[in-house]
Amino acid sequence: MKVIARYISNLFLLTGVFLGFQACVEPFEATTEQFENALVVDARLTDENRVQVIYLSRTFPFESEIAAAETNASVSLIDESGNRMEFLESEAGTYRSTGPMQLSVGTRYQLEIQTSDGMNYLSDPEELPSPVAIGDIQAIRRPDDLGEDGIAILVDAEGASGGTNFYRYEYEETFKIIAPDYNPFEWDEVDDVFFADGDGYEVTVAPRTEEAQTCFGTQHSLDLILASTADLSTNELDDFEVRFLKSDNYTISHRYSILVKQYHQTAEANSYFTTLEDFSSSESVFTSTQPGFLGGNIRAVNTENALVLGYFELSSYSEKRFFFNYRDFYPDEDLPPYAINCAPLGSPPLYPEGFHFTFIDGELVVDGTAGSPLISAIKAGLIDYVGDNPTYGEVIDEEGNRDRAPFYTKSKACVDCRELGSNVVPDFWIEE
Amino acid sequence: MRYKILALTLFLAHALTFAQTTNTLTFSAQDSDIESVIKQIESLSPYRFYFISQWFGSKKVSVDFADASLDEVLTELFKETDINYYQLNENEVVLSKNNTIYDSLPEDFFQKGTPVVTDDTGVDPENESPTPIFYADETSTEEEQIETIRIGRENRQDRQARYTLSGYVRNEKTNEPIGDIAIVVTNRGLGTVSDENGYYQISLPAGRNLLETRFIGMKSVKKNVIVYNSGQLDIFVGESVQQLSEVILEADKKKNVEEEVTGTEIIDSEETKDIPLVLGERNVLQVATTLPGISTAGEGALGINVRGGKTDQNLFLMDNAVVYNPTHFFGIFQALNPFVTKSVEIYKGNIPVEFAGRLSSVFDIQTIDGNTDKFAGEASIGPVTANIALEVPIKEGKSSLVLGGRGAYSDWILRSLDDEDLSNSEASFYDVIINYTDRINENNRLKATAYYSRDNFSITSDSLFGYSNRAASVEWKHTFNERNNGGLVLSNSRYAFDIEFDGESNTDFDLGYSVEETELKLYNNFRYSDKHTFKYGIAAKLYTVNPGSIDPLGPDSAINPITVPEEKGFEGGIYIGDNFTISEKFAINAGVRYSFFAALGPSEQRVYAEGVPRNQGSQIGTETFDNNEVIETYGGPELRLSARYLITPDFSIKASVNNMYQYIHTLSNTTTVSPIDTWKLSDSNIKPQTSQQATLGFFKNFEDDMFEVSLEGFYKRSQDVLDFKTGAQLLLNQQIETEVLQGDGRAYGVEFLLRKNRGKLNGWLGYTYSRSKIRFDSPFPEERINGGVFFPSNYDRPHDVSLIANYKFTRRYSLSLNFAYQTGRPVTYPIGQFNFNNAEYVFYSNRNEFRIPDYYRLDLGVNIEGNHKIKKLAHSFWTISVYNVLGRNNPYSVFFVTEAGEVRALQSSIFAIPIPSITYNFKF
Repeated sequence: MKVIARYISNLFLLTGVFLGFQACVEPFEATTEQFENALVVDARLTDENRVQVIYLSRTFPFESEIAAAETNASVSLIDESGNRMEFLESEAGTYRSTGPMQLSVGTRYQLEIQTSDGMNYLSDPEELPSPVAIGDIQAIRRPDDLGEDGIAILVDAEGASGGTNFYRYEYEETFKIIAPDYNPFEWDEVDDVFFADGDGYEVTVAPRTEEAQTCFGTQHSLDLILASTADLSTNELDDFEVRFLKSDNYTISHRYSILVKQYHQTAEANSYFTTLEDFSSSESVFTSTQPGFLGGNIRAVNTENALVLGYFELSSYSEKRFFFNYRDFYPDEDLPPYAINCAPLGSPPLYPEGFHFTFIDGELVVDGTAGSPLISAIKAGLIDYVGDNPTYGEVIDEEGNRDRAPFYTKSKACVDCRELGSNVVPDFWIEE
Repeated sequence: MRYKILALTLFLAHALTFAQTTNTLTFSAQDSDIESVIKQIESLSPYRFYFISQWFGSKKVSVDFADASLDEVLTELFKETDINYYQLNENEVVLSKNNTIYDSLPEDFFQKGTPVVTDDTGVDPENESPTPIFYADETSTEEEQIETIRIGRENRQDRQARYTLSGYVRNEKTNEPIGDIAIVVTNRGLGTVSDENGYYQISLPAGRNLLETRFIGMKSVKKNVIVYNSGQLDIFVGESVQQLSEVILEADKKKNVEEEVTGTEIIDSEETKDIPLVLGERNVLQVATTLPGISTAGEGALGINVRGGKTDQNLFLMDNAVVYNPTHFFGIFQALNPFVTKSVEIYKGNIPVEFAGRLSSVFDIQTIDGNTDKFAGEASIGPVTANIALEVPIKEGKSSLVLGGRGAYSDWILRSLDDEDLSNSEASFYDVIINYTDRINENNRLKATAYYSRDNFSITSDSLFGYSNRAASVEWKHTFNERNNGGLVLSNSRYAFDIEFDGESNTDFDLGYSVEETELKLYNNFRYSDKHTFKYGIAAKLYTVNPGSIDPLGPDSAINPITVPEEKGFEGGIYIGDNFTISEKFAINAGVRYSFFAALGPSEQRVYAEGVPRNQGSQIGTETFDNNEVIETYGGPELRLSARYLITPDFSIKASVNNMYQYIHTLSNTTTVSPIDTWKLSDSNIKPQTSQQATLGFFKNFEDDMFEVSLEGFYKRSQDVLDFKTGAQLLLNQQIETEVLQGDGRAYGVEFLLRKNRGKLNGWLGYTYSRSKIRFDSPFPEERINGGVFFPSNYDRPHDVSLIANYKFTRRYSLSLNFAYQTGRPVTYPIGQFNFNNAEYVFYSNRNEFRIPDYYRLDLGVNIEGNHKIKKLAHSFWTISVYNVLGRNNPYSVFFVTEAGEVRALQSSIFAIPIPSITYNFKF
């Protein structure tokens, strides 16, 4: 009933809006009232023949930024005939299979973890679901549920066996970025030493040596994208929307590519992920799902009290890549707005206002405001060159001050696309 | 309505006086029947009489009048009959049998023909001017009509503090002595009771004493007695049958103290108009939550919690028909037309035996009876809704129709928004009500009510979410004789919601849910004696629940149609109750009801293995039941016992015990009620909920009932209340019993209420300390919550303070204030974060171990009445109010979302800033 659930939470969102000026949702700084330190198992193994990775960590309080890794644990996968496959810690909290591992359909596997504090954890036996190939991917332009225009990426899942099928999707999107204010020159000499060389502050530009006009940005999905055929009249998933890109999303400005990763999972795994999503997605102002402890399929052995979080998921994997161009769907429209606002044209002064120096006992001493606004912005990586200031050094303002800015500048990302992506063309990239 | 009655009364009093002074009659008749005497009067005078000949029987009279007034003539003529008369206008006289037409007949009417006062001062009481006004600001026409009697000759030589007044109380018709009638000196706090010969004796202070008689079934007679010396006063009291409602108003003054049933509250819809509420919308349900023991989980939360009970344990009845969801807009507004709603009587303690089916409370919503004499109406315009109610007489004096309508113009607001997304949206609601009342004759009355409310929400033009309530009832009341009156009620109710989703993908669907019930009730009240009043009855109810279906919408939809099979149930009850006055101080109200439920087929009931957790894996089979085949029966006796002991006439102690059964439950996995929660009947896998409650309270009135104080404690246990496993998916779940947990509830508390009923300043102050805890224990960890121990429920709010005050500066201007404070409700708060699947999530452990911050809010309102000219076309009324004057940002809930892989903590509040509003009301 996922469709329904999502639709209803949209409705509630609306009612919040209707109350408009009254109802409000605001962020607050959460504090940990009572912290429980528990093991977190992130074991999502697939049917690919590769080195499989399991991550072990500990829960962490709100006051802390990152999770502590669970180190020195012994992790093994046991098949139904009792064969053990060890996972070795390659870096803190990351455990890898000793070589490429091919899990087989129809076999039951259990995950066993012994932590360094001597606790034993064991998962329920899990079976690898049958492989289902990812089907057609297509992009269509249509409004979303809230009526906003954009591009929907739809996938089909084909060849599923009988019964209800459950899927989890991830995607990796790669998109071409063209810097709107690209300039073939870049900062060359940036001299912020005023005294030692005796020549004061100095900034020069030189032709670029590296590609900075066209880059490729990459983003990974962060949300849980879950699908099932439970509500549907067939076992085949047809036109499931894995990604919706609003028409003002800068990533679709030129050419866009998405790698859709499909994990065919079990009903139990899907139910775990669904509840996890339920607890962690925004809901109405009025009602929210009663949360509680969400147990996965891993339990501490011999005690009911130790909490374990996470899930041991076995899935069959399939992926497919898809490309499209902005002009395929928006032949005459303006490009979406760039990632950042590139309208402001800067002209930071080389010397600050009120800069003054004097000689005291033969030493040069800056007795006014020191530091160059231009140089400090360049050093901080905030700005790039877009042109010379023709009035540099001339008297321009009413008080008779000279124009102190030698160059026009813009935010770095407007000029140098490497701020948003890589200038290396990915191997998989195909131009039309 | 009060204004009109007042005006009418004044007018009538005037008309009668006029008639008395202009026409006199001189005639005689020997051994004639009454009808021919009346004909004789008609021939002699312009008077015309309306009557039915059979009323007079064969009685013969002999009369002789000279220059007698019409009053004198008629009083003498009907002296030994049960005929009353009523002078409609100057020349028209209406006769009636037994009953009087209005209580506004002049008080001295009854004294004319019978020697009422043995007055040893020799002063003819009839020539006395009306009572002087004692309280300038509390003058009412009623008081103006109180007869003043002077007792004794003032003796300057023998001045005492107290004198003795004695006399007999008799029935003015039969002249029989009336025993056990209370004579209360309302301005002194004194009182006595007549003995079996009707004789009374009371020691009174010198000066003015306002005497009043009180007896159920008799009129309340008031006498303004100025005591100069000891003396005698016989009091003649008229019977009152149709005047019962008036008697209740008088009795209500002491209801707080004298009523045997504990834990009742009554809210008069009209009186709530002064209370400032959100967006100027009158809301009796929200006013109810300012009373002790009644609360909500949060501002704008759907559903009411009574004495620590779940929101599904309240029975909302509108003229006997159940209303499943009496609110609009997710609980923010009431779904009741404020002008058509007369009052809401709330039973939260010992629920009277005629009600059953829900554990915690009964909200008995009564609609008004239409005006049978003239067309009347009332309307209001507020920032959110417009309301209108019309009263249309059908047959003068007998039947009337009430039409009420109410609608929100939020659609218009949404459309005028600049935001393109929202301008396609819809959020609207309306409710309509019609009722018809007919006094067919003196023994038969009929009232029919039909009600419908609907809410619509939509975010795109193609999708729609709506919920609706339907309720209809017909009640026929019949008076068999003086002692027996009964009735027959047929009612039908339906609650439904539906979602039509027409999106861009191939998952368009139409989802529907409905619950419907039809009930037939037959009851009788039997006044066996002065000590016993019995009530008994039988009720049968049929439920039909359509737990939900989803259908593909449009030919391209890939949605698989699912229909969870219909459920049927029969709920029956048979009851008897006795209001037993053991002595003048001690009375009990005892009732017993046998409650019965049968889950009916057709159905397939799943059978689960015993001794293992109930889930899909432990299902061992199914049982199939044919249409109307009994699947499972539940039931048992319900005891409703309460007792009252009057320590003094204005101080009582009350206690009660009761137990209840409930066979219908809401399925909800949200922390507060959601409009898509569904109702489910008990079946072979889901047991009925039960509860037991005991209460003890102290009730005291002060200053001639101006102040009422009560302190009441309760302890309530419940069994098999429903909750759900973590993350349960309930909608369209075909195996709901695998998600359901049934556990115990325990609630206790002390409720304090101080009310001031009259004067410039009136209102109430309530304080409740209460706890509400629940427990879900099981041998299996997956069926346990919080380790199987008691923990606070979502609506456990220990401290609850409410102050409602209204100050009348003048008759036209008043200021109202509403203050509320509550302990923040329990929430389930994360106990840490974790990394999984490249994102951060929070995790939760035990339920409800933390609380959101305390809630408080202050509302202010100014009410301006239009001027009080009697002959004005319409009476208008302005309310200007500010809700949440302090702008307190009361957190409603806290929740944690994972966005872009990171956890964000969010806090929601519903009305975080002061909200001003203006509402205009007018009556015509």
